[in-house]
Amino acid sequence: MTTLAEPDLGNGRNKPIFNNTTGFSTLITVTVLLLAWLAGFASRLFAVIRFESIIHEFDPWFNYRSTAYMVQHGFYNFLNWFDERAWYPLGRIVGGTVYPGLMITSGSIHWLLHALNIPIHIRDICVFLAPVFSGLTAISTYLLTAELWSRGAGLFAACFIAIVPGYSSRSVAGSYDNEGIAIFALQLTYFLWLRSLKTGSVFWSICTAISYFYMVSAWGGYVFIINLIPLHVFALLIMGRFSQRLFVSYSVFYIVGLLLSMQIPFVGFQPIRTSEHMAASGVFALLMAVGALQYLHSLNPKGQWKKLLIVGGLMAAGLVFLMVVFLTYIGVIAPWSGRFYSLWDTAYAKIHIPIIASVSEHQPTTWSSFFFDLHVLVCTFPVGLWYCVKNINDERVFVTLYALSAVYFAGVMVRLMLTLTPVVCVLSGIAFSILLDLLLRDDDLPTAPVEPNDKNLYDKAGKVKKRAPEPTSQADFGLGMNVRSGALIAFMILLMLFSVHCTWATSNAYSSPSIVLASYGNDGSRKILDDFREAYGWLSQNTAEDARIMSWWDYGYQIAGMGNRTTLVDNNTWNNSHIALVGKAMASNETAAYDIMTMLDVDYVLVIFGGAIGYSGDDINKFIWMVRIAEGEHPKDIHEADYFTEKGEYRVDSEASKTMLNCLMYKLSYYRYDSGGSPPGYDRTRGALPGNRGFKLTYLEEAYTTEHWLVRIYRLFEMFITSVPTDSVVYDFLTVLAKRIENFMMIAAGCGSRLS
Amino acid sequence: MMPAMAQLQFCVLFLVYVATQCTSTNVDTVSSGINIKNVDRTIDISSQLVKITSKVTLENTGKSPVKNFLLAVEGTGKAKLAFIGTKDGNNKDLRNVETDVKGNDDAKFWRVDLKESINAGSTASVVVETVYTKALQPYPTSITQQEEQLVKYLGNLYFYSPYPVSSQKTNVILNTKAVETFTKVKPFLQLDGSISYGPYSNTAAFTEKELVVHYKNNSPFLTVTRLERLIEVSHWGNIAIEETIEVEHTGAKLKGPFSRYDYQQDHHSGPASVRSYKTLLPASASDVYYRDTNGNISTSNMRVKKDSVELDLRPRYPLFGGWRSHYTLGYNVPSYEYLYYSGNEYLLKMRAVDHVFDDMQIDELITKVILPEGTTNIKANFPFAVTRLPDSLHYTYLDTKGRPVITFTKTNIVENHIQDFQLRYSFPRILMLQEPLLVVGFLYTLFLCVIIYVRLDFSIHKSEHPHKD
Amino acid sequence: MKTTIKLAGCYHHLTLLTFVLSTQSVLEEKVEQLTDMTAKQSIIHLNLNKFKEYVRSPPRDYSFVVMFTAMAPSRRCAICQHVYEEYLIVANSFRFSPAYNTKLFFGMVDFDEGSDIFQMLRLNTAPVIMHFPAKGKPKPADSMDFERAGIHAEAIIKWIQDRTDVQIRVFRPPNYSGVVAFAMLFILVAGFLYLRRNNLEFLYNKQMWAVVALLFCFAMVSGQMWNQIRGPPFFHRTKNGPVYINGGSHGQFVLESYIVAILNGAVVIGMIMMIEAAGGVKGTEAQRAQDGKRRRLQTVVGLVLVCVFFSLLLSVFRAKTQGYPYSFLFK
Repeated sequence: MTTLAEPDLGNGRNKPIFNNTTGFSTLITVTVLLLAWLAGFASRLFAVIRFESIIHEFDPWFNYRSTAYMVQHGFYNFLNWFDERAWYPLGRIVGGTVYPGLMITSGSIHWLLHALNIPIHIRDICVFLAPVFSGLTAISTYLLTAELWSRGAGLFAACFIAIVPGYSSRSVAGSYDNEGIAIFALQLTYFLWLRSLKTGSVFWSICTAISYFYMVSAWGGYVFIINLIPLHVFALLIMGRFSQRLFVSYSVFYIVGLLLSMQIPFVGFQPIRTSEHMAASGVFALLMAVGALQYLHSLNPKGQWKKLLIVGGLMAAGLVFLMVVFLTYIGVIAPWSGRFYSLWDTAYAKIHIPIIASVSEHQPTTWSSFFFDLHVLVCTFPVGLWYCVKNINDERVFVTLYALSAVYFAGVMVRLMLTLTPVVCVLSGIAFSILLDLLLRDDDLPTAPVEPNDKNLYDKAGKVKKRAPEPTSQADFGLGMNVRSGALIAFMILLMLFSVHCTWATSNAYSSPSIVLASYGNDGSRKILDDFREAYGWLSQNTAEDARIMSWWDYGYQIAGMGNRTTLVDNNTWNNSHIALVGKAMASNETAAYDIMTMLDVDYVLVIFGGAIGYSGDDINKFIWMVRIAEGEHPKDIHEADYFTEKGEYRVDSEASKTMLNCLMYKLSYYRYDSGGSPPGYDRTRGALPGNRGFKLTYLEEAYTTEHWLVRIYRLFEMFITSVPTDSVVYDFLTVLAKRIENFMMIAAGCGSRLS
Repeated sequence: MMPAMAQLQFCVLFLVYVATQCTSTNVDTVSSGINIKNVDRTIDISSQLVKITSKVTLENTGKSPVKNFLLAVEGTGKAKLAFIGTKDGNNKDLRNVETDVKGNDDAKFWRVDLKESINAGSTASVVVETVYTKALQPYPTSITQQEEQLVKYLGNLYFYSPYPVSSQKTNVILNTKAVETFTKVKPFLQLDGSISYGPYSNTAAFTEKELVVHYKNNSPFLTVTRLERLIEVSHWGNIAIEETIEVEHTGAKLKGPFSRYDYQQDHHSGPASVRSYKTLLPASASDVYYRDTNGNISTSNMRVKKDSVELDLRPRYPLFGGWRSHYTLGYNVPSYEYLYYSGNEYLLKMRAVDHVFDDMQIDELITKVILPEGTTNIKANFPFAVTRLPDSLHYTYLDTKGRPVITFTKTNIVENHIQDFQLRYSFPRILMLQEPLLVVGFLYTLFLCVIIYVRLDFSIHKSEHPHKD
Repeated sequence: MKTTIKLAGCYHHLTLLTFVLSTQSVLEEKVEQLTDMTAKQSIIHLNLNKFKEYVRSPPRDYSFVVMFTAMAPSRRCAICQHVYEEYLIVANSFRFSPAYNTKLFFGMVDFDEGSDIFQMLRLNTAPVIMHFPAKGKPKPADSMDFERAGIHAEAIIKWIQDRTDVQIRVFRPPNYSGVVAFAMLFILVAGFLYLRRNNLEFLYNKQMWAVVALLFCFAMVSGQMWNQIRGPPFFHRTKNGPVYINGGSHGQFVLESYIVAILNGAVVIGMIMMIEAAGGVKGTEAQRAQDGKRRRLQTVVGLVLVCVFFSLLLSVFRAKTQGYPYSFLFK
């Protein structure tokens, strides 16, 4: 926190408000940042208050499980952890396929607290990690903005990012996911980078590298950093802003950062083997070349060296580029992974990787979701951008590039709204601070741009009226007092709108744990539908310790986390063919499915069925994706068209196609389903009466069904052991194992699982 | 429950006994001067337990007055015996001591000391109460969801005793007319819900005759396989109690599928299953929580009565035969009801085990008592024989050298064991100031550091070189 | 439909009975003709007689994929053109593929050439791609449905593969347009720079760069990328007038996104005006010298711009988002 105290003479435009003692302004800064932290923390607790302190959604359950494992068995065992409960029969090398930053963070917090005899359960640490880190993110954003513009702007930016929905969407209490800490690491890395660029000191650039290392260990999004910083350097070179400081900071950062990033098992040699990282090394080489030429130039400043400099620079650039292309061509460097490639060729995923396309977070972004996540910032950050470009310097080149690239990515994928949000907050912070600073210039209130901050933390309408008449005295010159106060009031109102919007969005859109559902009666009475935990609890207590549960991959992590049982596929969708096999089982008729299931020796099958309570995210609605993915691997046996009616509609009632009515998923969903609405057996989600009813199951029996029919678990009969030709088994596992290696590239960093 | 005084007295007596017990094992002989005039036995097998209450009328046929007499439990039953208690005619507890008798090794004996001795020729009546667990075998051992649960009781038709019995009656309470088979030894009479045998006259000592009843019993067959009870005493006026409970349905196992449809349609489906049960907590229990490893179990409700807090607990899923469940139940009680002190001497009186559900049977109980930091010379008195595990230390908020933990365990527990244990210890009250002082000291140093930081910082950035814009 | 099928059925029997010998030869020569027609041009243009002869009348051992379309400009069938191109790609890539055989032929019928065929098949829409299997009548599933499968060559091939187990690898004529455009742009820029080489000052014109950056931001923030990927209609025509704003928050129209971009732009301009009026960032701009009156005016205008257009934006958003409680100035 002490760095707050030092005023950066760097770009200190003369702020009257900061002309008084550092101690005072430090006090204000610290207070505002603490308030921001507080507000950010509080605004993320809706889920905990409404329900309980519980891990949300899907991926967080894996993170929680592996964190618990690490806390229990220690760090090294965690790194070598081979999880035989996932991807049966393949298992999963967890240590080598996760970004361990998250687990290490909460694990060390846990260790520290217990060393101090503070016995907090690891679950609570995991639940509250993201809200706590949101405060750290606010602080690092403050630092970044202070580097860029001024401390007033920094305070604005900090307050914005503390509550903006675009960020709180991934960091509410209980959403224990990489993004929660990654944004902090991102902002910190950028701040340190700018600081090192300014000072040109090795110390800061090593700090940058270390912070980058933390980012690498935390999130797959580190690729954004390792491409953006070189881009910045490149832009500076083009703009002829080469300097020793740039040279030192980048080369140190690149070398140290590279070495450190390769220490993460999951990353391994990617930084020197894949195209995602080639920009960095290319720029590094280029920088070296330019540095050399500069040196030559400095030997004899006057004379023909200048031409040589330009020509040589261009040649070096071309050379580096051709080198990379060549290496890629001969296969030393892996080409772009599909996940990364789909950012440029926006149609790529839809055609080639249905499993990516099937995830709702990977859809493009409409303007309304931009507005929903950023509200007033969405139309104020261009102002900040404008002024950053108008009075450009090395750092502002960076923030400009940051803004432009981030806004592009956010446009392509909803998920990447997360990387846009911080820079939007920074730029809007700059915009607001410029304006309010000017509007309040005449009356020297040191707290002026600070007041609005804690106004937009919790809107006290009263304060506005109090503040309004304050711009008093010499109104003769400049804008009159009325205009000032009018403008002030207007902007206070905007900020207040922003804050109420943030609260509303966070509480309504982003704060449901999705494993506990709540339904509200007409009288406003709340009814908790706890079926998921009911089913997982049943699994954990009343099935064999090593029972294999087959379900669609969405529920893999939850079954492992809450049910503590072996799953076939889960949300880390690294093995498409295995998933396709499960999809095929679900999509084929009972007999064929039974063969597949015995081949995978499945004991139980778990399906989600929302028909009784009208829960729309259930398996029948996701089913068509199972069919598509299965068809991708087994085009002979599964045809998507067979599951649609002649008219090409997807329906479950008597109109539905025969294949649909007889596939395993359908039968397991509707087996003996006669309750629900009126008439009995009415499916509320699809709004139809199932077409195939009163059938019997030959190879399975109902093992358990939860109170509201949401989760249905079936047991495979042992008695029919159909003779599966062993060679087919062998063949299939071989292919699966072969796929495994090549699929490491497309390990889902975190697929959410709601389908579009 | 017995009145507190008597209870206390009982405990003390018992503990004196326990103390002696561990040194010397005492041996008795069956005195021939005692004859049992009449036994009136009630065997209650309507729940999952077997509760036998026998009114025994002793007669001293010898010359000398009798101070004590022997109780016996047949070899088949002694493993399942959970509790044995004796009262005299006017419902006062009598002290009973486990003992051995030469020549009868398979049976198990207790010596009961009478309050006042029976003179020659006169009689005294004693009430013997025994509770057996796991004495009812489900038969058939597995049933489908719709079927009723049938169980078999194997017992002794006669009152098993080392003395000859002149006349005895036995009444078996079933609470059901649906009886498949039962031992028919005249005279007997089957009323609805009960079977009465006898009177039988002049049965010799140690007579055994098999009594078999095979009947419908849908009462919940729930067994608490493990109960860990954690009592954390704080001198700031609060005692936190947390019970980690593992429950299993030990009735007839569920055969075949579970059908939610049938279970929803008619409420008679799954007659032997357990949807919910009631747990009684002390009346002063507050902020109760009920959760498992996956978080809160949202299906429960609490009713505050004037003498107790009644929890209606529903497991996440109904319990069928062979299904298990696992949960944690916790609450706070004010310490002034259980913690008495004079000066630095404290006395803690709490229940060693508390009510889980009616007719409960607990296989294994582990009770841990966490005392405040700095307590010394702890003395424990237990109402019944327990095995005391080595003490340990427990660290929690603001602890420096850890809190002493008293741990004891006992197997095969029933409701009759809900009795108080006592814990005497001394605690210097001045230590109560330790924790606040810790906090104060910590904050003080923190602020001190910050102050120093700021000063340092002030001096640092003068030397900071300006960088270009 | 039914009657015709029956007839065809009887006819079939007759041929089998009478010309049982000639069948083979007939078939061969038909395949012969078809093959060299295909050799000329991978899609065979069919008129009524050809259609009857090759597609309808047995003997046939080959399956025929026919596209019914209306390519005439007078018909103003925009999609027909796209479908035709994709279809052509399919036909070509089959013809030049190693898997090429005489079991599958591609034909097309233009409405203006064979309207009677359309009547015969009761077709009143175009384009339609139908598959006539080697034996038996076309089932409903034998006519491809563009709504679901889409009109991409891949989709068509997949559909063909479902119907007739013929595997075709799509071979698109490499599309150089992007490269060419890029090269053109590059050359233009280079040339421009070359011409202006003696004063490259404009490159240092921050104003220009700033404007460019802002425009890019507006484009992205208003969801142009979504438009580009999802291709929504420009705006929605209903019987009671056109609709410019998509009701749901998961969709948008092209025009709608333009409107939003303009609203954003207006707010930004307003804010910049205010800042400049209030003395700009440097504090050394011309406004300092100017009289307060004009600055006041400018500020007020800017303020109005900001408030009005932001609240417009808010109300549009509110209209799209169900149950959004807040609004400013306008409902």
